[in-house]
Amino acid sequence: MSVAPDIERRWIAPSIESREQIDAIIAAPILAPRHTWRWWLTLAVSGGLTLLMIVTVTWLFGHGIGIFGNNTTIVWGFPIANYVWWLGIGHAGTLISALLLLTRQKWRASLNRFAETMTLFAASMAGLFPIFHLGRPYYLYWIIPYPNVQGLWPQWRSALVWDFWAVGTYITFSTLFWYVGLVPDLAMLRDRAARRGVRRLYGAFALGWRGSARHWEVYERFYRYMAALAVPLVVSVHSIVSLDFAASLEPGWADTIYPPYFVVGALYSGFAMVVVIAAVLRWACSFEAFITVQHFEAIGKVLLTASVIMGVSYATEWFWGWYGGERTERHLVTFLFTGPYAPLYYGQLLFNVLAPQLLWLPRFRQSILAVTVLSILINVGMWLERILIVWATLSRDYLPSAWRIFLPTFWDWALLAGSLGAFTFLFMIFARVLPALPAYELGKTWAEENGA
Amino acid sequence: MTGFLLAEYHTTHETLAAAAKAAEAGMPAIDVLSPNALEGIAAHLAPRPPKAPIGWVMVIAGGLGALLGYGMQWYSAVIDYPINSGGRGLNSWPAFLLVPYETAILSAAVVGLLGWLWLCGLPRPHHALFAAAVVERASQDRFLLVFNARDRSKAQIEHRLQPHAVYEIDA
Amino acid sequence: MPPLTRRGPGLDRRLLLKLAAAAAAVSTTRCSPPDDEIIPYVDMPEGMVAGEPMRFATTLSLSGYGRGFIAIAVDGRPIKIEGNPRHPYSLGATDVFAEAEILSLYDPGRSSVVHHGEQIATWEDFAAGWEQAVGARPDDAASDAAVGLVTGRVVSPTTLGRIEALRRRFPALRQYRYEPVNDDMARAGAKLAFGRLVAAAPRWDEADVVLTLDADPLGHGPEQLHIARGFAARRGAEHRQQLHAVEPAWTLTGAAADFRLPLAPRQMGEVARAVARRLGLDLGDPVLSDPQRAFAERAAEALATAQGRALAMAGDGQPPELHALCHWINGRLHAPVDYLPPVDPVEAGHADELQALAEDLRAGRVAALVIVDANPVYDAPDALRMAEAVAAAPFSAHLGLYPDETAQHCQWRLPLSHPLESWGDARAADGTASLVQPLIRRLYDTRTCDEFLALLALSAVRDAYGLTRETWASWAGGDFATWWRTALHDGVIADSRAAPLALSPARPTGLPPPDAPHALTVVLSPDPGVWDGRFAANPWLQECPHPLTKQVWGNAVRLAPGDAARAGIADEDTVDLVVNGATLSGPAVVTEAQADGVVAVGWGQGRFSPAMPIAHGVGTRFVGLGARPFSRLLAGAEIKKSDRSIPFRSTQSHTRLSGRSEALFQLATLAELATSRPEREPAPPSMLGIPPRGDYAWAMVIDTDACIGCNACVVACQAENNVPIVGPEEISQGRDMHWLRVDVYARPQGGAMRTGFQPVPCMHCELAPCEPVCPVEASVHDHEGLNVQVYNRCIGTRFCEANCPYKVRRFNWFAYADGQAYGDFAPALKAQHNPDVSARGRGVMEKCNYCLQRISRARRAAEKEDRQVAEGEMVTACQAACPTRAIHFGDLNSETSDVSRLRRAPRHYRLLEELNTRPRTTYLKRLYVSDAAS
Repeated sequence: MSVAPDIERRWIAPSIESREQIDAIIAAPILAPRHTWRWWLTLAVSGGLTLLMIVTVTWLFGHGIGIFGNNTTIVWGFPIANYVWWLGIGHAGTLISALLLLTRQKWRASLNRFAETMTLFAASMAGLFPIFHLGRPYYLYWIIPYPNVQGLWPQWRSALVWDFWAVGTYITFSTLFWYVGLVPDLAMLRDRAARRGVRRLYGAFALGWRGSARHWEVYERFYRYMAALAVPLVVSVHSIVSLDFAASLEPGWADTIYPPYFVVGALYSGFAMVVVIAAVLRWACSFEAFITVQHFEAIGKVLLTASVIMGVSYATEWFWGWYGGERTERHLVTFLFTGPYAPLYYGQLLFNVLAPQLLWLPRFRQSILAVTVLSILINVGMWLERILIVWATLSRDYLPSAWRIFLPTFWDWALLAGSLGAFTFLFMIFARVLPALPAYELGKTWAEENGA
Repeated sequence: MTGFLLAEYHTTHETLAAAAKAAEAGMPAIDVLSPNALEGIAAHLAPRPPKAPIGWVMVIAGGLGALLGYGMQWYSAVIDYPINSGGRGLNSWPAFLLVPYETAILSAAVVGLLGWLWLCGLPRPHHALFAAAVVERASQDRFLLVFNARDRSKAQIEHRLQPHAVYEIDA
Repeated sequence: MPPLTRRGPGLDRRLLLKLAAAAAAVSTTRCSPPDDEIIPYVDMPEGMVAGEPMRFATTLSLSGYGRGFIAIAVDGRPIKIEGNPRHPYSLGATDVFAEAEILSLYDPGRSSVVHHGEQIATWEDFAAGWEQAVGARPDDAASDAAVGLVTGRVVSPTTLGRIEALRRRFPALRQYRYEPVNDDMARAGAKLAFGRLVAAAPRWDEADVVLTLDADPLGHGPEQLHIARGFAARRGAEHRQQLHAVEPAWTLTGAAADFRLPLAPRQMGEVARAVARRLGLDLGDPVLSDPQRAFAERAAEALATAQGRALAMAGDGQPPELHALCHWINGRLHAPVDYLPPVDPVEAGHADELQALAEDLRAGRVAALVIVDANPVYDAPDALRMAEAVAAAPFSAHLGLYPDETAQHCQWRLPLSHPLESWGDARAADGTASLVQPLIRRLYDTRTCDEFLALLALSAVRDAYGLTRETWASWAGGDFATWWRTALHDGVIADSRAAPLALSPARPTGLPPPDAPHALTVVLSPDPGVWDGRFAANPWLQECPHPLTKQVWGNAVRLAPGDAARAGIADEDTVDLVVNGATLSGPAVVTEAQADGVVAVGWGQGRFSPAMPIAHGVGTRFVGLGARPFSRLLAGAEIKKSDRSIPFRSTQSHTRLSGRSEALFQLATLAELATSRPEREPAPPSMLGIPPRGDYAWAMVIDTDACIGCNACVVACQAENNVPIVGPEEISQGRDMHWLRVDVYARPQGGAMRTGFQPVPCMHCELAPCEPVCPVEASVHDHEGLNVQVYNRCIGTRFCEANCPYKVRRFNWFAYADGQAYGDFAPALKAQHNPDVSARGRGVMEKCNYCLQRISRARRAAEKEDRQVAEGEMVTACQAACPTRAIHFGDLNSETSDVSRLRRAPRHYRLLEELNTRPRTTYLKRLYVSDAAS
């Protein structure tokens, strides 16, 4: 990406004196956790929201999706937007990890583990929404090819079937990639664990990893090939998601710009979420030594680049809307700026394009607080972008007689909040049972930086 | 006597140097246990670890996955249950290209994982080397050259390779 | 009037419905044909074939006038009303009211048992109570009791006979006959012109030029179907009729007009004045602005030059003098009008009669009050304080279909039989008589009017069957058995139409000058959905969008832009309407090209009987305004923004169509049409090639020039396809279920608003966008070119609707067909459901399928005889209902079929053709005589 490898630069703070110390710090939250009231509070809040999600879904299955704000014209609503948003976030993890690995970015080591984990959890959240949005969720399996008495197959021309394969592949792949990367650390935990049970547990998942030269030989190749596969996969997945819209003939959806525009958007929100999580972990698990201001600055540059690309994408949409001259398209652009959704649209432009321009200034780039706040705004902005993609087109398509406006209900918000809670909850658990940073890679980096 | 001798080192450089010296001295180590991969160590080991063919395994698996994916669509849409969907052709190949793309990557990854386990002989929870307590450090901050105790003696190693320590393991 | 939403009446409604439905479930389990012999229509096999629909001719009345229809029954259950081609006031078509009667029959909210006060009683109890009240001794029948009989317009020979019989028993009997939607003004006008009562029946199809003055002949009413057909006969390019409409507020007639002038009601006479002058009768100089005068003179010229083929008519709101003048004009023009002796024998005016009722009751001149199928407490203006007057009567009984407002104030509440479970007869507006035959045994222990009157008169014959036969036995003479079978079979009694009278109208001596201009005048008209309120309890009609405002579940206050602006009122604000002291509120609809100073409101809503859960509290009761009953015009009104908030519920938010309308709703003038050449079907540009056509290629062509926006097709579709009701709350959420919607377009052109209607069913695109996006093959194409929806296969992704440019798909957000509030009709409605159409469950998509069940029925019939389905053999429900025959359906494979021919017509166009969806449903452009619009 935008950060050139820099040998002089040290990615690990000098406060680290020995390699063993790294393992100690990383293993601490797992083998010797200190549960502060903050930890319990966060757990309680996120747990509560997770409960809200469960209640909402129960209510949903009991009463039907009429509980959402959707109507005859705007048949898609929050669930679809949430799906695209979460999946977008889910993209950064694997891509950061894979891309930085292939480009030999040293700073990768401080991010890839929890970024990949973020991918898993975000993608899982994303995977739920298409189910919740179905009229008859209990027949979801009909989009899977399996021998059935009806003698029917999925309808392969539907973007939703493509979605199923793309997201399914993506979640499976990311899990494998994540697990493979985890094995040497599992071995480390096995060897550090004091209690026999814990030892056996991690031992089982470590598969008997010995760190033998023969292991490393195959491992390094395999891991690199996986990374090489991950990149085209990530690109394909969000391109396919964009086809849910682009492979239609609705105004504002049927645009060839959609696939790249979605992929960049995905990375954008993903990187932003990585920043937020990095900031939290750094503070919660005292990883200051590994996640340094330099990391935030590096990501800040990535965000800046993405924000510019997003700006160009938006401008492109306006231009073609106008230049194409098709009435509906033109009207749609005007509608975005002047219609009832206009405030949201201006919010989207402010958060996604204007605000991030502050990152041109080193002062902001090098402030963890600033980068984090901007990242939160970006995530809000990206959600707005997704909901507007769904709303605007459906609210103003070809026949004015069918024009309507979407009014969200309590349940719309409840499900969104619930998914955020569930995501956080899962992350809390993860940070408690698995190393949030790759100890062996940091160790290697430390060794190189300290000529050891 | 049979078993293993483990020579302990603390840094990458020490380890590589020692391994090289051992090879020159015609007493090459048979393996190394290290917390991370060591560039170019393979050259000093005997027998030399083979280049893993995992790449080919994944390429072939991917190709087959793609064929399977397209084949499934073609068979179901053209042969088994042809329908008129929006006047599109039965074999709508442009729309049928996306699923194979995904199945290719999926099968490459899954087969790759199995290949990796198989080539590494994993999972293998129990191994003679685990007998030495120091092996626990090999996953953290210690580097261990492994010699076959049948044709090496502890003294030889201490004398020639200046390890921090040498451990014996009876098999 | 209780406010629209206090403590969510929806909740009450739901609760009551649940109970009601439960009750009805029991009763509808014993559906069976009536005991007496009834005669199936046309060449149906004798005896009933299980599951095969049987068709019976019968008669349904609107405001007293009978219209003959065909009721379709399956296994003894009436499920659908269709038109009877032989009846002059159906001509094979139906209107919303007729279609919806089928629902009223099964309505669980109907009165089902005799009530004395709050006690449940029996008919015997009532008979005893009655005899006691009229103080008759059992041995002699005659009585001097002051019996007051309140009825609507009675034109049924049998019922009239019953009333005579009753009068024989009670010489002091006083009948109060009134119809809220009445023709008082026209009758008075006729008296002026001819010195006697006559009904003018225009032969619409013979008129080249028509001028309407505040009249709405194409609007809903007992004669709509008759007039609409005549109108349709003269639409299109050849022999087109010129329609000049002068009206205060938009009506269906105004929407159909070639030339329309919005004009204050008080000025209508001025236009007539101008016409009269052109025809050589100088009644002074018309008081009109220049453009208005120009309009009037053009109309006058057109009329004058179309001697014998021109027609002028005034509306029920206009004074008798204007009616008289129109009669003179028509006489002068030798207009195609028949003057018929009135079918309604009562001389007195409707308003007078209702007023008399109030006075007599208050003066205690009525000892025993009997109200038959009328609802004075709701109909009378508040000024008459009718409720307390009725309550004051020493003895009062109400026979009605519903426990309505009047029933609430009567001592006896008696259940009336529904026409579909009754024997009887009726006359149409022109006197054509037809029989009412039941299709089902009574669901409850009810009585028909005739039976009830017979009971009161202690007649020998007490059953409707006997009474009806009694009436006609004498009339028919000869072989009565054969006559009876023929009459029932045809649904029309031969040559029962009154013979036209040869009359010449008097030359008017003058026309009163227009009264001084007022701030605002309220123009009241019956509601196109619930009529005068009698259909307010029918959810199909409540949910049937107002043709022009698209409002459902309520009635709006329509304002001219200028007046709205002056009062600072915007669309959908709630407005307070103040008329001499009384204040009523409703949501505002700002309507362009409505005459300044005119406030248009509809009758029929704001029913306040708590025992009618569906109707209760919906809309506003504007009929209560004014000092005199049923006044169509109320001068001196004020409007102001209300502090209350009444939701405006509509199914189409945008009628002014931001620039796109010329592409979507295409207009053409006769001149343009002459120059345009017929189009050829473009070859399909497709990468993958279009699949070959099957045995049939079904297609529909809709003539927007013929469509008058009457909604008959919408309700017909709902009845045919078991389309559920969703209720006001869901409508507010933007959800509706009608498979067929009628889009209304209003677009400025040639200095006036061009308003027109475009029925939008599924387009059945050959390259359907909805199909490739469905992941589970629920939306697929069949071999006859239908875009079908497989409900069982649908998992509810709604991608199809998202990708449908026409937005014609409907989704079951809740279990509308069952379990959900309005679905709780289900137990009762199961009996009404069309057994050939599966009910849709929660979470599946549904849509128009060209009445697939009818197609397969037609195909089966054809295959039995080993032949193709013939042209015209397959008729969709909407097509069958359409009074103007605007909907054409047929097979594209046949070059000669109606649809193939129309698709080659110069007026033909496809909706959103640029998307290359290749729709099978296409349109004919709306025509105008010329660009000049007003």
